[in-house]
Amino acid sequence: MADEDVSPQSSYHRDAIKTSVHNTSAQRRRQLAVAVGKERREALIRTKRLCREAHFDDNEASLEGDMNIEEERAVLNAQASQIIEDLKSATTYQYELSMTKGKGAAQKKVEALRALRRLLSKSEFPPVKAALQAGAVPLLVQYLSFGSPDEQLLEAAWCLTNIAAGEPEETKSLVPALPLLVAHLGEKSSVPVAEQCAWALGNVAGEGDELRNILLAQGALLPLARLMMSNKGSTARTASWALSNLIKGPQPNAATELIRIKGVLDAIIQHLRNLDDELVTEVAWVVVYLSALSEAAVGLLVKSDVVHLLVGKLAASERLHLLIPVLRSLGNLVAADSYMTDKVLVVGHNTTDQILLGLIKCLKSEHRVLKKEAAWVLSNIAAGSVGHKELIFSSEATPLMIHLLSSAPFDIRKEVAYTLGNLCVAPAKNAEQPSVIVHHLVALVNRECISGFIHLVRSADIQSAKLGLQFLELVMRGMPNREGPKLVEREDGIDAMERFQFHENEEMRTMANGLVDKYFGEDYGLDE
Amino acid sequence: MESSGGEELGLGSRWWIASRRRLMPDDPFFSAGNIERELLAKQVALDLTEDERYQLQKMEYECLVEGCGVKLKSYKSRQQHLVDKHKFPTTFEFYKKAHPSKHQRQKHQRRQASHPKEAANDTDMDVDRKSSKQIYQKYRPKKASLKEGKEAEMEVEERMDDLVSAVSKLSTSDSSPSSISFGHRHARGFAFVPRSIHQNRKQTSQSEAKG
Repeated sequence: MADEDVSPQSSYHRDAIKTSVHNTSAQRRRQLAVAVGKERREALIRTKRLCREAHFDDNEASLEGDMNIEEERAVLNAQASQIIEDLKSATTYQYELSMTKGKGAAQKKVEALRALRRLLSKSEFPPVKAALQAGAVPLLVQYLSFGSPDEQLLEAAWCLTNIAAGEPEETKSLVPALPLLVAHLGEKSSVPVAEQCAWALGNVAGEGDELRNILLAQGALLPLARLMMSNKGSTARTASWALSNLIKGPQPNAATELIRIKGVLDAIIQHLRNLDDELVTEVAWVVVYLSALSEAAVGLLVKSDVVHLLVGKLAASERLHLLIPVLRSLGNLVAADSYMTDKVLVVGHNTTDQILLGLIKCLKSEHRVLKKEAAWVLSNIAAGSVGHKELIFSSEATPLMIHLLSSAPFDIRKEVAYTLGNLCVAPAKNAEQPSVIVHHLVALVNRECISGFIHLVRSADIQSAKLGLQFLELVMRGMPNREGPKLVEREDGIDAMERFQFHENEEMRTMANGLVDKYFGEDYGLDE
Repeated sequence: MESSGGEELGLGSRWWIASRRRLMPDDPFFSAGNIERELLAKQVALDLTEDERYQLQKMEYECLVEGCGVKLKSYKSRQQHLVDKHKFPTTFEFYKKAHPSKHQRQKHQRRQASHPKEAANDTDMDVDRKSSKQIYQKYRPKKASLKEGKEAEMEVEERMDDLVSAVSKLSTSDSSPSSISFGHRHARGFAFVPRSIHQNRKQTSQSEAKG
């Protein structure tokens, strides 16, 4: 790179950064901007170097490009091993003596740890395996001992964090470090250290069930919950994220234990009011798992402000990574407890109108996840009272879903089918045949939904096929003037049903044959 | 009547019964959303702004073989494409310019300076690949420092020194490649693949069974 291009640029950046750091207090955003800028430059420099050597005007051998990558890896691995050897010798008494000032020894340690941390922070080829082989974990545990300077603790925890972010085997290698990491979550440690340890533990918890259980047994839940309650945004966010990984199950006990901790629900409510979307997102994920796994949590959540706050976010936000956990939390709550449709999402209430708007927005989204999960939530609301069905039916959701039924990918069509069908049946009393809401059914049929359901009958997924058959049953029973069978036949419904004539699945056979016999038997067509 | 995903609707399942369906967090129904979470988290760790991210997604590497027209997402994946589809040998040497003029060199180097984002593209893609291996698992190797005041300032100074020295190393003419090409349109330098290379390729692809 020509010097004249770079130097003025870099000194400009240097000045800009100096200014931003000098100014006033260490405000989080500015620090983050500095850190972000720093990391971005690091990423650019590193990859730029790689790119440059690898490209060679596209004339050089691509193998040479590969060799450079291999070389780089080897260099990083060697560097990591070297630093670890340095760190090992730095823990010896001899080393301490050899430093004229005690301060010098501590500084050397921190610098070495920092160098190791930087190596492990590389987004391409962090030399994690080499570090582990050289004995990084027991070494870092030593550097994590209580009484060490904060800088040292921070760097050591950061190294462990990035080791834990690697392959499963690499994460598992942190097991000897877990008790100490958990211990540093407590109030004896400074907040930045606790936060960094929470991050490391979040990575460990995210690895799998086994590690989660170890962490729970070691008492990680309570101190993480305490950190989650922090007023400091980054701490609350990191702790929330770590907690979401810790309680995600499949066992429900951690979730139940969490909601029982005093102050947790209040903290959740408070954080959901925060303007920082990232914090709201992480807390929403905690709610996702609480609502999915813990009956106790569901009971508390549905009666709290959480629902209203989540609905507000659903209606107002455009950010995918926030909408996903918000939508899912609401979905879980609606699915789990009839209190939601009975008492919270009452027809006519503002919250109800808002959630519908939010769900409609998700149906219109380009993101498949939002469409699918919103349809699922709608299907559960549509399983509520007739009032709910009418509310949904008369909203923009219906034409959107009708369109999705014929055009969307299979998984979305299936969810939409559940919703549309739910709109057409009144709640069943006892074990009777549920009654048809005729004017809903007629409207859907007139907008050509039959073919969408017949398409489902033809699908390989048995559950969907059954859904399709059940809808056809509704049509043939419920359409006025006995029009149903004709309409079904017109869309090749008989053909679709006869597919199950000799099907291996007995239930499907019985159902399909029963329908064909009943509606297309000897009497069919004789009424004309 | 409630039922979980995957179970049949219960009694009277001949008929449509509207009931709530509850799903467990590890239900495959949620996997797409879970993946989104992981991918987004990884991108945050790289500290790219939304604009840069958007631009990176538009980055393309065009296949060097005229008429192919395939666009790849990274330098590496294009190389892979050339090897796989067009049987380029992995050690193949392209048409080499011996000694470009100083003007030529400066022109190439300046292009590099104006397209730094392309470099980040590789990182981003790699991260995406990595993250897709770690589905529903933990994430967030910590990248950014949230140190207070002075420390951050000192770190920044250090980083600037690193940056400047690294960059100055890059500009050493000894180690600089004979010509560099950057920017979206890599293929611009290869819209025409010289005959000598076509022939060369045939020979080498015969001699190298793997291609």
